[in-house]
Amino acid sequence: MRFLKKELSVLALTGVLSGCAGSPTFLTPASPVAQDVAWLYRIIVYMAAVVFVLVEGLLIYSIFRFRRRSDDRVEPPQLYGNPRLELIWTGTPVLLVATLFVLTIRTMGAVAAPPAASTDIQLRIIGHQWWWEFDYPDLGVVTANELHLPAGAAVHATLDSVDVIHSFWIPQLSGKVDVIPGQTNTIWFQSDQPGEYHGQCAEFCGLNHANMRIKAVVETPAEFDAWVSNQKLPPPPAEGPAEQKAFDLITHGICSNCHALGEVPPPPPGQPEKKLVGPNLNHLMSRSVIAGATYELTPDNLKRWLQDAQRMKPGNDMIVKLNPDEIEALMAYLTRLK
Amino acid sequence: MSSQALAARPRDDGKERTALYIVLAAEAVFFGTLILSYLYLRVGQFDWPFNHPTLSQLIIPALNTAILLLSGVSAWGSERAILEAREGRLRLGLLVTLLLGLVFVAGQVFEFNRAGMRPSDQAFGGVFFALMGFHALHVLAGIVILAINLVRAFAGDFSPARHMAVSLGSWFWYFVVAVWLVLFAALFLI
Amino acid sequence: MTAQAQAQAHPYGTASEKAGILDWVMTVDHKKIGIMYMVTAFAFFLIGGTFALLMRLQLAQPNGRVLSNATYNEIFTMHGTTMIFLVVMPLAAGLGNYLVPLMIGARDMAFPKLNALGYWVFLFAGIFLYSSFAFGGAPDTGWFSYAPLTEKPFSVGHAMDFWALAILLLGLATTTGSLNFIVTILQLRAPGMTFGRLPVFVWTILVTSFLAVFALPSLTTAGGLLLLDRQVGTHFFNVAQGGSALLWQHLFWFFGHPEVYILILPAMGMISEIIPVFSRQPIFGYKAIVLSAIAIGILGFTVWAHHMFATGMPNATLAVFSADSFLIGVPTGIKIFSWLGTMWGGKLRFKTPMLFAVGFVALFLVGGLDGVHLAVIPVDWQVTDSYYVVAHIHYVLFGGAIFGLFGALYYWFPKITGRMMGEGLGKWNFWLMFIGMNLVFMPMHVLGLLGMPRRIYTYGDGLGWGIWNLIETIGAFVVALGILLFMVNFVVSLRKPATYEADPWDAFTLEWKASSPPAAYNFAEIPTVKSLRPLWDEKHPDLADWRVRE
Repeated sequence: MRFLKKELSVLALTGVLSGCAGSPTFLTPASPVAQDVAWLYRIIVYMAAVVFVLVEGLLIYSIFRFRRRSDDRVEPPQLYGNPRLELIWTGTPVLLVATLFVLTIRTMGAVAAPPAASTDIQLRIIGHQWWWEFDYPDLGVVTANELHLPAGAAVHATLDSVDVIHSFWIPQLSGKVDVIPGQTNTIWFQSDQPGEYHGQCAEFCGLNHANMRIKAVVETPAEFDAWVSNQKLPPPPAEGPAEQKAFDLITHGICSNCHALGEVPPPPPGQPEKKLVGPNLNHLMSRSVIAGATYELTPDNLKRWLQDAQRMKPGNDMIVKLNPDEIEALMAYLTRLK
Repeated sequence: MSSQALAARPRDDGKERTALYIVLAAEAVFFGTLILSYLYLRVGQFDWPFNHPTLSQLIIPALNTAILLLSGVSAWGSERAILEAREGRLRLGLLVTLLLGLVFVAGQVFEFNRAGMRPSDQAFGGVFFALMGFHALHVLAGIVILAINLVRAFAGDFSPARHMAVSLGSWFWYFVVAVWLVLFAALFLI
Repeated sequence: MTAQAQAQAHPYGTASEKAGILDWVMTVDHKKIGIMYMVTAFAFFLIGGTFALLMRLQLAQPNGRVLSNATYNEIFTMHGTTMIFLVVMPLAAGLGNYLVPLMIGARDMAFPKLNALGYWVFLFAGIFLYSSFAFGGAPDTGWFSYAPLTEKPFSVGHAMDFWALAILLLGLATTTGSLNFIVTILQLRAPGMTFGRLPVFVWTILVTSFLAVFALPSLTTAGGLLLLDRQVGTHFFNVAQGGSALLWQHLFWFFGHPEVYILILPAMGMISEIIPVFSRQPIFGYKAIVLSAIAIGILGFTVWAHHMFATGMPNATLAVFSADSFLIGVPTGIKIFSWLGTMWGGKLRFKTPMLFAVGFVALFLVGGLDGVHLAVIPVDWQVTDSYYVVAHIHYVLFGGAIFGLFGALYYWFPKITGRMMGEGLGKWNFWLMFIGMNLVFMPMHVLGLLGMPRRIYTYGDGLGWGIWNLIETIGAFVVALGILLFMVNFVVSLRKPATYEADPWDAFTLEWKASSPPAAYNFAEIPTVKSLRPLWDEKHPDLADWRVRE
């Protein structure tokens, strides 16, 4: 019953925003967390609407009722105050905000811990300038920008940054949590409905803050398992000279300065872990988005990226200049990384 | 009007006193935020040097503290002196305070170098540099005020009724001493 | 020479040996300094506003191409920094400078030379900040410049050094100005002007000044430590070497929250002077309005972490800040009731100052309500760092502070210049700004709810954000037109012959006793006051305030 009421009320609110199907809004929630918050929002917005109508109403009323007639020069009786009225209009807001505070604490508690779910997924979310890395440590999967989750599973994620402060926000799944270098924050969310949800970095992080987007793909458990199985496969061996050239570039050549392909070998003893500023390229074509999820990952867009990444995302860290041969070779191999 | 006659007129320093208190309040918040920043950074850092300071690490800062406290006494003495119209004592008090202040600043610089710290040594290097450095800058500002007062004292500008600059300068000095006591405790004793 | 004749002979107050510009450069007269603050601040307002228009053009459509990401980031940073530090604060300081001595029956501020110094430091700091455009680029990390984005290697070049130094200089100007206001108000009031008879505007300046004295040092620390990090190599905000990114936020917001009350309180004071005069009533609940200003001042120091709800601090900590943030809504809210109560039972004249004052009340209410929403932590987790916050800050800062300042400019223009601003143009000015601002900022609530983050130079299509952004851009130009009309009105009005009326609005407080414009010495004789409304008492002895048992 409560569930139904929530749905109905949220629907009413979203009626207002009905032209915005496809907007990443917590008001069309896809998770219990976002749902709780949407419900709370409904309450406080109605309270605010009442106050708004009351006060603005009094204002507008007094504008008309007490307007001075143009020839009237008699001063009105002077009113200095009314202690009882002032007490009421101080006490009432105190009661109102106390109510809001209680509601706040209750909802905070409600969204604090994930409910019991069929599966738990552990996730490491790592914010880079300007893309999101998603590691599934238990599943042995590393990917970027596109997040896959099975419906009905509770996702427990840690948030780390390798550079500046970012903020992880997929409105339909949960509130945002900042991603702060030097501390590991946590976030959890769960989605019961398969679908695709949009998110973005929500803390200004430099030139391409606007281009640090997230595509969350919630799928059926069967689809998710298939995706995981695929992601765990090592990269295919190169076939032919062009692909070999590409493979060399990627694993030992210029690309390897920033990218890894598949599993990253541990550093030699005594050496620090190599910091890679670019995403892992394995299963590149299994993702539908590129460049911080700002473009669809089509062969055309991939080629444009290789030719002139700066044009597509000015100021990003891909500053290499590849010659046409290298690009052809890379296209041949990369498009096989499904 | 002669200098002595000028000096004899009573002076209402209410405005300047209030102004000084406001300046000191702002400075207190400034040093307060600096100290809180240091404590914020220190919490959870187990390899903080000075976690368990040895006697040899403390001796020079403690000596410096004593010197500064002494200078506070001489500052107080100089104010007392002018209230009693003892101009010689006033000048001596100002001079001693000023010199002790200079010794203090020199001591701070010496100690920082002797400890081998650099501002870029992790977080603690910067903390010591900033806290001791900003404080030393304020001591230098106080020394400038004392120097100006000293020159004016030699010119006979001050009298029991008119010595606002001396009072304000002393109060600023007491503040600088008090801040050091807090800094010393925070940096070296806890 | 009578004060009137003096005013006619020397329209800007001083019979001085120095001619023209030298007079202004060397002046220590609070009235001239006030005018300089206001003129300079208004010039910065036009620049900051132009930046806003550029941003709106870029955002009008998805994947906009008007500005590059680099330029956009400089522009939104400079827009915020300018509006806060170079517009609203100095406009209020300028008006305060001009009016406070007049309102309390003094001849000048307590420290006239320090007053002048404050202005020149402010002007220098503003020019210094803007010179960064010519030296490798302006600051581009947002007006609150979160570390470690502001550290090397993330911010190379000198932009952040310009920002930090300018902030330190502005802090100096603000602190000396605040010091001056406090000492002036505490020590130079006319005989009979007890604290219970101090005009509300003077109270708000006093509280604001105390806020500044206690808040600015935290910003000084933050800026100073950032400079040390960048130039000397310390590690206050460098995480790898033991520094803390969050430390910046604590230091900044400990300043930053009181700062927003510094921005709004003077404007609240201004409309607290305007509404009574145009309602023919005393301010309703004087004690409450003064106490609420003080309460806001004190509570303002306890809520800073509500800007940090998403940073991962423990829920218990967040709860405390949420509680305080709710609490501070109470004294803020009851002011609105005071203003309403003043209008109620009065006889309202809707001249332009009153239009802006009532506009303030209407718009500030919206900003207050959506602010309360931001205190609801789980909701904040969704809408913080989104356009919802941008909506909130602009309702309170534009609908609030700027509207209050515009009302004040219309109201005190005759005192400063001896002539009135045009009413017809004034009404057009008001309505364009009022309608325009709602067009710009109301849809931002929707955008925040629809998931649009702040500080993005562009956005994808298919997210449903385009239409709202387009409406906002149109609204921005409506506002710009309104401001243009203000400037036209200003110039046209200045060219009209002066009428030198001392009290054209039939007002209540002491400044209207001085000539328009006031003589250099303000009052020939310092008056003695017996109530909050000395001029009302003079004009209506049978209804005088001092007759009312207090």
